[in-house]
Amino acid sequence: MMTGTWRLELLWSVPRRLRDGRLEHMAAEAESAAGWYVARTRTGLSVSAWVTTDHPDRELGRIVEHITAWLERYVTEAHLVSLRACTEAEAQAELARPDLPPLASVADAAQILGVTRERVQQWRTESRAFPAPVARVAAGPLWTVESLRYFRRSLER
Amino acid sequence: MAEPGASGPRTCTPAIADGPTVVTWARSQGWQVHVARDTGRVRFAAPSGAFVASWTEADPTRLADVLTALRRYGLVWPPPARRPRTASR
Repeated sequence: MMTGTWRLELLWSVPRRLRDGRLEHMAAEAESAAGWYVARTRTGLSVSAWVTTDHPDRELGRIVEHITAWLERYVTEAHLVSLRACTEAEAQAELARPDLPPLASVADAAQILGVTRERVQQWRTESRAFPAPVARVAAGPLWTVESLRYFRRSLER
Repeated sequence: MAEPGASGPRTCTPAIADGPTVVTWARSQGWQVHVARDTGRVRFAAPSGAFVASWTEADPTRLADVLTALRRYGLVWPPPARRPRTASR
């Protein structure tokens, strides 16, 4: 098996919110001693580690055990809710992927589709093929740019 | 009792963004970002005030972990393009 670098991430749910000072102390210790990274999540905390190995099947499980044992020194009622390992390339690709897609208003949609705003409004009410908005604000509906491009291509066909 | 580091290899991955960009963007989204002058340690707290993660400028390789943590806590990343519809045409 070829040597590769993996990102290992464990998420724990914690019943009581960890105090900032305690979490910062844990983070500092984990990072300085082991190179693990500790951060707060909405429901608890995460611990991640980068591991270079040619045997991820064996090595990653061993590190999970060590991280779990270490965490139990600090938090007694933590529940592991997610355990994930991915390659370095996948981790980088995930960060590069926007979690908020480009959005378009009626005016934007008119520009993308090369028509007037009135025509967009007409399509909205009359065309079943016109994409549904993903959000609504006071100024009106918002669509994903991608859905509008798809509609434009369907018009061209 | 387990000691951190007993598991063996410790590695890091190359940075995928630069620190100042992350700091500026997080602040613009209401995050409280404090940079310690003496250590260079950057402390990220959510708009609610809760500490989420920290990072040292001397360790740029750790930025991917910081970004993952901030994103998981609700910070939009990467920042949207200034005018995506213009760029897409």
